[in-house]
Amino acid sequence: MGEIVSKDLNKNIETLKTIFKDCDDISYRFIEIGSNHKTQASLVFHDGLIDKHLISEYAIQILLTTSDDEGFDLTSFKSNLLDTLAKEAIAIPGVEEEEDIDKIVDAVLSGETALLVDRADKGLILSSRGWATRGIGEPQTETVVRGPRDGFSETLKINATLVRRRIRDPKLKVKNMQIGRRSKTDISLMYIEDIVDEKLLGEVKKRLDDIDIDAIIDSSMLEHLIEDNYLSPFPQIENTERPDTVAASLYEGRVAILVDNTPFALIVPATIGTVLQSSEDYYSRWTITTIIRLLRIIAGFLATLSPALYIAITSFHPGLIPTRLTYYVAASRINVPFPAVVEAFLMEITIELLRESGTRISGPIGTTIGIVGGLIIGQAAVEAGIVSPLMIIIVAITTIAAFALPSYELASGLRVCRFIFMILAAILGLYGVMLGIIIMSTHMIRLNSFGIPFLSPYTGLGLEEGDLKDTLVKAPLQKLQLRPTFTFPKNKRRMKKR
Amino acid sequence: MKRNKISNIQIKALIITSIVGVGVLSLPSDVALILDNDGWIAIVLSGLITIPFIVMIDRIFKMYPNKNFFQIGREVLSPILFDLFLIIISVYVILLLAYTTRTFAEVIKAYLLETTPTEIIIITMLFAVSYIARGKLEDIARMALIIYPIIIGFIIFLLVINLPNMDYTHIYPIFDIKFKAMPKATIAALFSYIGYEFIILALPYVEDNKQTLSYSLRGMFFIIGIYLIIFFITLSQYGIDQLKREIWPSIAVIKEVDLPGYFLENLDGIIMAAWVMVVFGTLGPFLYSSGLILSNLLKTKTHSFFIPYLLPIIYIIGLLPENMVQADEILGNMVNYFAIVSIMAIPAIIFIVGYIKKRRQKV
Amino acid sequence: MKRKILLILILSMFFLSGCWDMVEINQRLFVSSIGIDLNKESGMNKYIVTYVYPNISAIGKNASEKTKKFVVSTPCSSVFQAGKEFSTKVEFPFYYKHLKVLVIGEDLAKEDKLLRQAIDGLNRDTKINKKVQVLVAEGKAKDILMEKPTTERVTDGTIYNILKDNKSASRFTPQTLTEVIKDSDFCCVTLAPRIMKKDKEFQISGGAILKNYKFIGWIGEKENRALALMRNKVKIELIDIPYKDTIISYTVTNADSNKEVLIDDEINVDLNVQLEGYLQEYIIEEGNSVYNQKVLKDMEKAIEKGVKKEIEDTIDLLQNKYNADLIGVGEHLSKFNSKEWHKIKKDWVNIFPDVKFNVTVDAKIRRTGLTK
Repeated sequence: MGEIVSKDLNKNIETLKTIFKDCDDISYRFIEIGSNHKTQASLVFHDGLIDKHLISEYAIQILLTTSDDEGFDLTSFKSNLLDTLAKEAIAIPGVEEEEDIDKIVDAVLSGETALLVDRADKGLILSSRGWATRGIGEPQTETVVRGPRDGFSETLKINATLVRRRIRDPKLKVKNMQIGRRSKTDISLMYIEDIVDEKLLGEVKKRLDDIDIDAIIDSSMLEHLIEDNYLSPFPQIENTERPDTVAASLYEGRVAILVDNTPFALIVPATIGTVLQSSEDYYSRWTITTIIRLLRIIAGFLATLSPALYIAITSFHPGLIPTRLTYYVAASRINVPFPAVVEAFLMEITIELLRESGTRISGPIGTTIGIVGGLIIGQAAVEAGIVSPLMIIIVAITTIAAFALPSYELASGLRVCRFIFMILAAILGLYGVMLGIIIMSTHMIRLNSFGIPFLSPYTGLGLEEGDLKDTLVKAPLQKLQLRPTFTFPKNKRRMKKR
Repeated sequence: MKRNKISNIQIKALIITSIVGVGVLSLPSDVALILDNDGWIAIVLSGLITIPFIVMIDRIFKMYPNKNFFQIGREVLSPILFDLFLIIISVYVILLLAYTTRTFAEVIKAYLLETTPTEIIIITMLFAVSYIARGKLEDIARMALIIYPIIIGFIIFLLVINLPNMDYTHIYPIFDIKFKAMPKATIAALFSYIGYEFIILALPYVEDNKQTLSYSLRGMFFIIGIYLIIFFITLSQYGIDQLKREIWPSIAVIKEVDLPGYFLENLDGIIMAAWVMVVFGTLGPFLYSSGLILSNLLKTKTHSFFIPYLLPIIYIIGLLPENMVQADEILGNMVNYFAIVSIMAIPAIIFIVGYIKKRRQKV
Repeated sequence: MKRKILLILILSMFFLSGCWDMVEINQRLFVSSIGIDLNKESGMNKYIVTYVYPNISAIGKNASEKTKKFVVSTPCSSVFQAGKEFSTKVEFPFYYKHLKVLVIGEDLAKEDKLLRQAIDGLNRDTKINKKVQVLVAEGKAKDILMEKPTTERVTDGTIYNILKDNKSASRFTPQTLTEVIKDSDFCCVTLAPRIMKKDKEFQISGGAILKNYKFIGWIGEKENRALALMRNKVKIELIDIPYKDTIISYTVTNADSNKEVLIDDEINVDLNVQLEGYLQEYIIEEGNSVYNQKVLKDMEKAIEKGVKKEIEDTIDLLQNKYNADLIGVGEHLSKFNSKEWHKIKKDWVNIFPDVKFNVTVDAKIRRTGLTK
């Protein structure tokens, strides 16, 4: 408990001014209110964070004008002065009394307006948040052909609203907390009380409480702080820009964490099944979704293994491919001066460079980079005989496959693994690739997301209960009467039995 | 399925993955060498022999619920005797690991990496496996469930590609039984069934132990089925004389098939890839159990402490035999004898003594 | 710290010595065919081994060279020894996993011990594909492999493609390495297709009988077809049969043969061959219709008779001239009547010529084509 609001307005303002020393973005507005304008008052607020119209129209204006006309005499109501003000004068939805200076400071910094009145030992916090926001736009990373097009923005309140609109149930709980000693970032923990597993919820709360950091800039930082294995290349927490995904996950008994100042919400726990899903899976027909889900698994393997297999086959085991193909591959490499592994590394690094430069620069320049990199370098490299045309195909397949995965984080993890696989393939051929698979699968087997095995349901959790119906394939909606079991939901049935 | 428990399907998968390993490679020619075309009878017989022991293991844990193998063993037998048993079992597991890695390295050398030193193959495999072995029992169970579909896929793949160009008549004569050679063949086939004893460590943690026995037996029958399929595939592909000649017919048989349209020609690569995973599924549980047994013997908290120290021992024992023949004759036979003691005699003794003690308590 | 040292040790182990088996694909020579001949000079080098490998530079879109294949030949002591001998002449090491064809010279085939050694070497080796097609050359294998057929377009080699793509023809029966070994295991005899030189081309027809890995004689196309019919190896075949005063062509689409072996005091074999097919060619004449049960039955009779004779002639040849149980009677006995087989196994060479065959052919004409 810090300093308490004193009865002397000037003293309070002094205190605040010392706290906000050199904070020129904080404004103080002195007004005189009450009969004969005898009572001194001051509004303290942050210039950019408040809705100025709201404060001037419904607070300042009213405070200045209404007092005398309607017999509003402040002097006679000294005992509960603020209460009167709040109840009878100020026409703003959220008004709260506060006596702790530190809390007032926090409130001002988060966009509230503090009203300090002389001779009152408390301040009033007027909720006036209203800064410029980006508005609800279409999600940039998870676009769908069919399905809602609203995406999260940087404002927590709006984001929480978007979710609430999809779950009009008082059982949807939104717990607010602040993380970051300095940043004081707002965080909302969302869950549906009668579905979510208590153990999971407890674990999430515990991990959030354990965080001691000065600032949370983005939800990804929070993710890194609370995940089970921070050394792993794989994401153990799902992130999404889509409110419909968050709502659907809440209905599955998962917990969502919304962080202020970022359009990405976190969902826990995540498993391989959930990170390989896209929200559109549920909006398309089950047949095509099933095929696409199988395709994603293949894409995962291709993105990880294809350069390594190329190296293993061309440098170690040409006997594994058909004779005619062998001859063709040999012919296509006849003038290539490097071993396959050098060739593969060269091209993979080139493509990573291209991808990196393309991501940072958008718009027309990005397109130019794509054309120069993809078409010209590739063509020239083949013409010059530095790489074989087959290598270009392999690199292209790898890159496209990586983009076919719905989870960018997973794809990045696999990208890292790809290079390790390439080194292993260069040392031990196909056996090296298999060793890599052993190590990678062991890692994934041992990986947990908030106590839930990452490879569920393939490793057993929910396998017998039928979780495969909505992970490996997508059964028609009528067949998905039960919630997935990997979250241990309290309420198991989502659809009436037919 | 509950948290931090092992489900019955995982038990089934565990039985299958820890049994199917290197034994299956030579099994068809081993039994064919003794029994000719009727090797399959030995496969079935030795499979059936293991069943009473599985039932016994299951009974032990039902007699002493909520206790693990080590607690039961210490309670039923005298602690010193049980420690002696544990030493025998750990020697057996280490020998088995050494033999498996050695055979594995030889097969890899024959099919994939000709000039790569055996040492490198053994070291790399042991390191890769030690990662899972340092995990918890649940991790092992989860791993089993990943390997299980690979084994099924492996068998289906073998069946599908072999069916079109098999000569079924090679199976005949089918009932020309040599009764005298039967015990020898059964013991030879028994080697391919060792590994089921891993459930002795897993059973106490099963979530629903009523169903466990039936799941374990189903796993066992599944393995008998796998072995029979492989035996008949290799027999009908090779004919009896050529089958006897092969060292690892189960893998070599892949060189006999001809896919229509021949997109993939030499399929041994695919089979080798699958087989590496299968061996991983055998080595993982055993390395884990060797660590666990040692930690129990020496009363340490974690089992993972022992695993780095076990690796060099396994490595050296694996490299002791001068050649493959010696590995098979000396190491293989030693494993066989130790196996009979540690996976049949010891559970049986614990069961019988435990049973008698329980009886007395009641009276 | 300990961990770091261990990690560095492991990594250095790989990077200091690593990549034992790495050979780039364009730095290998893919042996596509091997020919083995007898070296008549005395000494260690009993074989003359010929390797054929494709010229990679002549393959693909930007083929820069015309020569499609290279042939090298050397006297040596074993098939794989040859690879080492060649290493002084060629730039890259040989790679055997794509070996497709093995041609055995006639002279070598007559030396059963040397042939057995060569076959064991190939069967034992881990790299050799066991589906290698085995042929026996009339003359020298080297001469045949040296031949450069004018039509060679495909990269696998002409011989392999003739064997592979004409699988249905029964002028020769393709034989793989395993099949040779399997057949020899069962009844000591096997048949490998014959390859011979004709002008500048080579031709595959008929077969060579190898008895206990020893060449004992050739059989022609007709005999080969009869054998194929008996051994159930025919898929599609055209048979010409004299009928009345013309010759009709009969396409076999389905052939099935059954053996039954009865043992009393002598061995009787009931051989039943069932043919199914359609009429390929008759003769165009006014009022001459085959769309008629009677005519078809007549034709079927003629076909049955013709095929039966062919088969019986072949059996006669095998029994009396070569004494080679290529029909598989011994194999059949060993499988379905193993008790009797164990008794007569050792004496089979003497028993086989006296086996009584009772051939029945059952031909069916299912269709007559588009015209009546």
